[in-house]
Amino acid sequence: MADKRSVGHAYNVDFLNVVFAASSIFLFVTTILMVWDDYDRQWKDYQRRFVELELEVTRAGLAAAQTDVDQTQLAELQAQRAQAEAERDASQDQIDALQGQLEGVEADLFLTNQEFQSTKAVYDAERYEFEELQEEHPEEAESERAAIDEMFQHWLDLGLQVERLTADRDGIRAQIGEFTNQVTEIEAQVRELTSETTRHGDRVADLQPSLVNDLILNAPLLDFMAPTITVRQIITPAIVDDVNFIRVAKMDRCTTCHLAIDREGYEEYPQPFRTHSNIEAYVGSASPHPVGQFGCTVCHEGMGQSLTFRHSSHTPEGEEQTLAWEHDLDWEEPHLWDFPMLPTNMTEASCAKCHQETVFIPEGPKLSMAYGLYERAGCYACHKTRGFEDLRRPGPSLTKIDSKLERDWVARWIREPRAIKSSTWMPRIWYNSNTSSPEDAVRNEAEIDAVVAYLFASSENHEFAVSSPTRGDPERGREIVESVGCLACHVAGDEDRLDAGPRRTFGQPLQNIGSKTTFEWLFDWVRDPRHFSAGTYMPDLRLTDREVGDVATYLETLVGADGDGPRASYTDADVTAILTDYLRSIVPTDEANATVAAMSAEERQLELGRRAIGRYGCYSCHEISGFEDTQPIGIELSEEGTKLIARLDFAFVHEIPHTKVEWFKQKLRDPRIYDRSRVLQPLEKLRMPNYEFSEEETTLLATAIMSFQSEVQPLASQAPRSARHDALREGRNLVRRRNCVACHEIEADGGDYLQLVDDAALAPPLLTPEGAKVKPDWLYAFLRGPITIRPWLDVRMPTFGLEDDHWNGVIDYFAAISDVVGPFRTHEVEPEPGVIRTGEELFDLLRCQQCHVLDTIPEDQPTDNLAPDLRMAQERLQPDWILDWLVAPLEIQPGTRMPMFWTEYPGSLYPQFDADGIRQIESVRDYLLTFRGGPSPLTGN
Amino acid sequence: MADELKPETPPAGKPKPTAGAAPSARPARAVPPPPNPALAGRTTSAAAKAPVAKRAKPAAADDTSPLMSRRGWLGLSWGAFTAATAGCLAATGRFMFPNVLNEPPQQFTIGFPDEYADGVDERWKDRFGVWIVRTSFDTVHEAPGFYALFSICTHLGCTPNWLAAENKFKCPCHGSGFRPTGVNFEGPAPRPLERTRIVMAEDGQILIDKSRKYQSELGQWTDPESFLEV
Amino acid sequence: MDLIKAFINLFADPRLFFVMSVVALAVIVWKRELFSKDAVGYGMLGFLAVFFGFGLFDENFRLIVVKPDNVPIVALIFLVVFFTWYSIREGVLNDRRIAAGDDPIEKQESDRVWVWPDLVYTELIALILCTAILIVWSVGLEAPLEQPANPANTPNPSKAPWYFLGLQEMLVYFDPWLAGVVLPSLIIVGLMAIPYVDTNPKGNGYYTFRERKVEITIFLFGFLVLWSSLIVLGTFLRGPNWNFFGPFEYWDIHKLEPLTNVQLSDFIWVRMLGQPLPEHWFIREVFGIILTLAYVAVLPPLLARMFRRYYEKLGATRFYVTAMLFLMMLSLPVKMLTRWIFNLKYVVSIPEFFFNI
Repeated sequence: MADKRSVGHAYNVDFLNVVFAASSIFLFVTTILMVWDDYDRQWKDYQRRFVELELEVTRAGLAAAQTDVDQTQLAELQAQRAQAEAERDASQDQIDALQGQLEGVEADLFLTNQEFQSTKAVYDAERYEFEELQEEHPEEAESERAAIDEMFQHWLDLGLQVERLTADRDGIRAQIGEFTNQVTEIEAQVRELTSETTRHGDRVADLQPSLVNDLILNAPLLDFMAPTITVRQIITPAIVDDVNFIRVAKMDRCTTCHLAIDREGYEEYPQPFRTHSNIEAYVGSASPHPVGQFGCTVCHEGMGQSLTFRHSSHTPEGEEQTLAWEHDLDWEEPHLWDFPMLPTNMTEASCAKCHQETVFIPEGPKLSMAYGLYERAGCYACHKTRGFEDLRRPGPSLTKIDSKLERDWVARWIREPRAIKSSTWMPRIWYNSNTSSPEDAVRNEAEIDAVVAYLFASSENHEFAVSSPTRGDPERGREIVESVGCLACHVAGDEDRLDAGPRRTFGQPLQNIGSKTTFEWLFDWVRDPRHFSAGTYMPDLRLTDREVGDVATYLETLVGADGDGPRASYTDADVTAILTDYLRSIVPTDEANATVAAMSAEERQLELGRRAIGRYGCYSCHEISGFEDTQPIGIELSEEGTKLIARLDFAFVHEIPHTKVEWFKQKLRDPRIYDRSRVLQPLEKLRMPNYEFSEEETTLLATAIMSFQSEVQPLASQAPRSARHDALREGRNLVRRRNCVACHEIEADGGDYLQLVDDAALAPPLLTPEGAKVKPDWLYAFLRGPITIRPWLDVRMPTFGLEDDHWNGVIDYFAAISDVVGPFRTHEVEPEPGVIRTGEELFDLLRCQQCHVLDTIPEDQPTDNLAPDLRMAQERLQPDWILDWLVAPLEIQPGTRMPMFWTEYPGSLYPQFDADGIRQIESVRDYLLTFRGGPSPLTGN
Repeated sequence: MADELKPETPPAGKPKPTAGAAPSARPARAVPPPPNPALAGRTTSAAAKAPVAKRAKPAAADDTSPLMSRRGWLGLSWGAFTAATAGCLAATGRFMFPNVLNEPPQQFTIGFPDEYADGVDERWKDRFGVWIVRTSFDTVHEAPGFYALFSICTHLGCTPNWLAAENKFKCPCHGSGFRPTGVNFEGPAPRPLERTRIVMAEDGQILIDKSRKYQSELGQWTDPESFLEV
Repeated sequence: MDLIKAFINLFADPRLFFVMSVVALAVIVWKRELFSKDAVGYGMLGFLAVFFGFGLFDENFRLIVVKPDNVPIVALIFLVVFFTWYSIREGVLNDRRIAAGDDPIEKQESDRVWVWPDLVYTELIALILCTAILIVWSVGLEAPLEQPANPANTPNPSKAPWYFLGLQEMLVYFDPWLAGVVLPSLIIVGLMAIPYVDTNPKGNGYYTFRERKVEITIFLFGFLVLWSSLIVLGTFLRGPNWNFFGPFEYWDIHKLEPLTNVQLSDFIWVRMLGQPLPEHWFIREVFGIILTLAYVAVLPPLLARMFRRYYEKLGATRFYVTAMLFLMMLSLPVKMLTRWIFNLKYVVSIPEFFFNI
């Protein structure tokens, strides 16, 4: 039994005291650790570094501003000020006296004004009551009227007093001003002179390290009051995040570390302190996307709310940067954010969130190029994509293949297209990475021959327009091909596909065309493409039959590689087996066997060809008989950019980074790679063909795919919609889908033809100002039937033979670029008699005819100095535009040879009209408009 | 371990009183004990007269603490514990002030000066809660320029309306009236409307900073950043 | 090293894992004298430490262990192992003393507990240390902030918190009604019933084994084998698609395993009797129903006859309650075994009423 009075202990208390002390100290230390861990953040370090950087930059700016200040002027002004101050000081007594007066007057004014205002308030109230009284009890009101009127009068009197006192006060002020004004003015001038230095100096003072700022205001636990190092965030109500259950305003905290992103002057510094690139188009306050309204993640993706480098899911660009980030910044592949940041070179994929249904975005060159490649490769043909519906089939029609090609050539072609034409857009369908084994080779060969058999068996007949065309001069033919404009759409040599670009590969490569087809077919085609293929986009170059013969003869000489021959042999038993395999997937095996057994060898081959075409989707790119309405085989890509990565099957390809972008790029590099190491039946294998994309093409196409996203952003944040914007959008799409931009530069894009000529003057003209420049009806007539405007040019505008909606689309587009008022513009030219004569005088004085064609091409002029026929001016040009052109040609058409005659505009170096440049120009314009008889599309001249 | 959980044996020498044992005889208090030579001179009265010599407090007889005294250890322990608790409370207090709030920004640009005419401009009232006033002569700064007023009535916080026809701000809640300058002149408002900080941004636009306010009755309207001279 | 890993991966097979844990329990109970040696205790902890230490070098293992959610499990393994060993050891020590005629160790202490300052002071110290350790833990292991929840995207694998992993494992073998409602309720009811059905006065306030052999064994079976080891299994050995993966195996979402399971009614009617399944559910499931009824109605009396001593000691009510609870508890391993051996899915399957056993 324990002794209640004994002093026993279960533990040695002194020992417990030590343990208590140790654990309390441990707790204290962990509390400090906790507070410190919460306080010590990565972004605070960046902000501290930036303050130092900003100080440095601002000091440099201060130094620069100080050197800009005109010291002599400043000294002068300061001397003046000193003198003015001395003068003012001399009259100090007078100023003081006036000041005393002023104070008295101001006091009176204040009191009177107060009384005035309160009287008004009282009067208003009284008046209201009176009005009420008048309404309710008009008889009683009369007695009150006098009082109201008196009150009103009193108020007016007070008002008069106020006015007088105010006048007095202003008078005294003016008197004082006479003494002090000069000083004030000079001080204002000094301030203006030193405004930049003052601003910089103030900022430098602000940024100086200070004890209070750095140690107290930003200290742990004390930094809730007024920290100088704070989280910066941008909340964008009009731009939303889709968090699956709701859409919320974006909250981007990127500017916490990227502190100079919208400030000029930091372009040379390393991230995160670098200015945004192209700040006039993005992020700058004067740009269409100011950062305060758009934030950052709408374009760059990533987790905007995060404040650490890692969790924001920054994505490195390339191996080198990945390793550097892993080493220096503790970077890991982001797994915890569905939409990691786009690699910097793919940021333009986000433009499509707001700039929809368009294939050209100004200031978005990579995306525009990506869409160009997307259309050229014909991805939209197999993969339905929003914005690319109802486009034509990207490949030529195969319905009349018999009159064009030989079976053997077709078999070699489809076996390996790039062996015959290295820059072709036709992909390889057989012998890809999952169909290259010897068993596959047998199957491939059987299918290739079967497809060829089917195409030829279903081919229609075609009668050539000219039955026995005569051959011409191949040398002449080569000159024509190289000068008349064929090379704008067709590559003739073995140029790289990406170097040539999507515009110059609009048409088939001409490489090896001589071994591909016959002279007769070439003649028929070049003479009138529509005769062979009614829906072709190839225009009519208005060549004479002789020229056609020359061209066809030249093309016939382009022979070369024969392509790949068969790599395996097969028997009828193989055909039977493969066909049965196809049929077994739709009917029971016994029935399939029976059906196949009942066919002849030829029937089997044709049926196999039909099945193979149906499986590989050839009909999506080529018109093929029997497949007019068949659905394409690819999945829809309209929202592929928003797809979750969990939906993409990486299979056994584990060596690539586990991101969406890498999956797409790998798929584009080798579409069959995700079948690697898998055991699959032939009909289970992947079937996307291989285009042999280069690395840049892969990156660009991945950018395009990432731009296909689900529509999340509200209408308020979309690109503005108006008739003008619709016209711009339609027009931009049109001039790319018909390849106008291959020849003509429009809106700072296109004009690929310039790569083919030495002299810019030998290329087709710039069309950006066309809307302001030419009359619409003239343009319409010209587009329908082009005439020669610049006779020294060999390259000619083809006859496209399009429909009215195309032409109107183009004309509206040009009008929208120049933002003109409309197709109908009034211009009454009622020149006075002397004006035309003066215009003629100036015309001769300035020697316009030295360069401008006027019925004859001027001699002794190099071609790059020649200029269009002025006789067309009246019919063709907008009169107001001629004025703009004469004033500043280089602003309208950079690179033009047209001199600027009126350098002193609105003055003038010439004497006419008392050196009045405006009237001179008008007179020249009026004179020009009197010319008649030039070439005209309207009259078919 | 169980083996160590033995109770400490009571100090030897103290007999356990068992039931039935005769209480040890206590000698009657007959003879006072002989005076202790060591205690000579150390009577209470003597101590009262003698100066108090500084001597260390004797440690308790059973204080077996290593290094420091028991008091020392306990002091240290409770000190550290209190410090930790205070630290946690301070951290909790700090927690109540978020580092960042999901609010419209306090600083924003409102355009260029030439986009504003003289007088009161209401275009930012709904979004940012300020009126922009351009005057040709401000009485405080005696210069033309801009100032921005918080659209918060100084009476009880309602939003006044600008009545252009009567050239005054009028609060609908209790009738407070303010001049275009912000000065209160009618109704229960005790003081003028507050002005915000207004400066020129680097790109030439006007920058409003609502995180700083200037109150007339405190003489703060003379602050150069409460008025933008243009 | 790879050989060892492959060997361990083999052991991750659920059958082996479960059987091994039952065998381990049997060894612990049967050879408890040996088990209670200090060397065994420290040796087990040391082995675990070495295992985890070396395992951390393997990427797949590290991904499991270092995940903040799984840190408690790692701690749990160490703590459960330690406390099992400790309590067995204490029990063995006390059993020795009792066998020698002595009182158990705890009896030597007074029946009063020193509260002030001993208990309170140590509680304060424990509180302080606990707080400090939690602070360090929360500072060191950050809870990740993941992407906004997407109803269209289920994480793979989707694991319950560790304290429910045992139940999630049960869901593999039982219908959700049973595994999620009935059996967990019975666990709680069973725990509540223990004071009422346990009439053994021995072992009250002191460690022992021999004096409470049956009770302790049953409890250890339920706690160690059916709860803790299933948690460990669910943490380390279950991967994407709730497939089994060895602790050093890469979690490939494409791994496929045949999970062809058959109902009891299929077995009997189709395979054994060669007949098509009857239309009406009662006839179809009559065998399963009989089996289940036998399990709950016939087995207890049988057990009463077999364990007459206990029957008499506890009395009818208590015995039958205990027997029922015990049988319910045993139904989980029984079900697991029948699944593994016979690919048996449900004993009774009545999809018409969403009722399956």
